Amino acid sequence: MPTFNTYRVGDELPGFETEPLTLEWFSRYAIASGDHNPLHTDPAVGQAAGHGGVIAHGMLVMGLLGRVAAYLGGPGALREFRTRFQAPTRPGDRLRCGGRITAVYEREGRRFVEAELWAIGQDGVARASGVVVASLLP
Amino acid sequence: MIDPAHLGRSFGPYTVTVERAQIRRFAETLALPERVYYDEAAARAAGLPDLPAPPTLATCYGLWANSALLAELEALGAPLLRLLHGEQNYVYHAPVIAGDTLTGAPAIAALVRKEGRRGPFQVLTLETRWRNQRGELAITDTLVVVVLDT
Repeated sequence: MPTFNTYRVGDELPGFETEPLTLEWFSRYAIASGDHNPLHTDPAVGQAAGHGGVIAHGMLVMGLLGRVAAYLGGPGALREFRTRFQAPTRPGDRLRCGGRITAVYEREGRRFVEAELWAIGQDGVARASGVVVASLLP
Repeated sequence: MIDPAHLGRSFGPYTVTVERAQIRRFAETLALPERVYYDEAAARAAGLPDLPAPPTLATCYGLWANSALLAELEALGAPLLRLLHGEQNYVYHAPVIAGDTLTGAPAIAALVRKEGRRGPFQVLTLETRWRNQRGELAITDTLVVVVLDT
C-alpha cells in the first residue's frame, strides 16, 4: 500500500478485468442492494424498454470502480466518489476497470490525492467513468 | 416528466439502520477483498468500532431501493421504467459504521429539460444529505437520473 508521499500524478492504479458479467450476478446485486427494478433482471422487460434484454445496475459498475478506488485508502479515507454512466452494460460484457492519479495536493494541513477511474468493455466502449478523492484523516 | 413546479420539493425523511449483515452481503456481491467489511475483529484491528460501510453502500438506502420514494416519483410523472441512472456522486463527511442510523430527506435539486436524438427528456437531480444518530452530516448523495418521456 503506498503512502500519500509516494503518489505521483500519472501513476496508474492497479486495475482488474471482470469475468463475463451474468444475469445471475445482476440478480444477486438486486438482492444485495435492494434495487429490484426488473430492467436489470427480467429479459422481457429489458427487451420492451428497447435495451435488447437486461442491462446491469449502474451501481454495480460503480461498485466495481470502488474496488479500484480502494487502492487510495481504506474505509474512512475516501472524501468523494463520483461516477457517470456512459453506456449500458449487458450480460457477457467483460469490464476492464482501472484508474490513474490526476492530482496530489495539500490543503489545510491535509494531503489529498485524486484519481480518474474507468470501466471499459471488451468492445472498447466506456461504460462508466469516475473521480475519486481521498485524504487520510488528520 | 415532472412539473418544474416541484423543484426544491423534498420527500421523507427516511431513516435506515446500517446493518452488519447488509454490509457483508453487499461487499460479497461486489467481491470487495478488504476483511474489514466481513470480520468485526479485522475492523477493530483497523481502529474501527464495527464493520464500515463500503463506498457505495448508500445505494441500499437511495432511490432505487426506496419503494416509497419511487412511488412518489411515479405520482409526479416519473415511473421507474422510464428512469435511467445517469450519474452518482457521494461526498463522505463522517464515517458510516454498522449500527449507525441515517436519516435523510431526498430533495429535487435540479430539473432540466433536454433534447436528445430520440426526443426530449428530463434530467432530475435528487440530493440527500444523510445525517447519523448524533446529527452529524455523514454522506451527501447526489443522484442524477434521466427521465424518458415515453
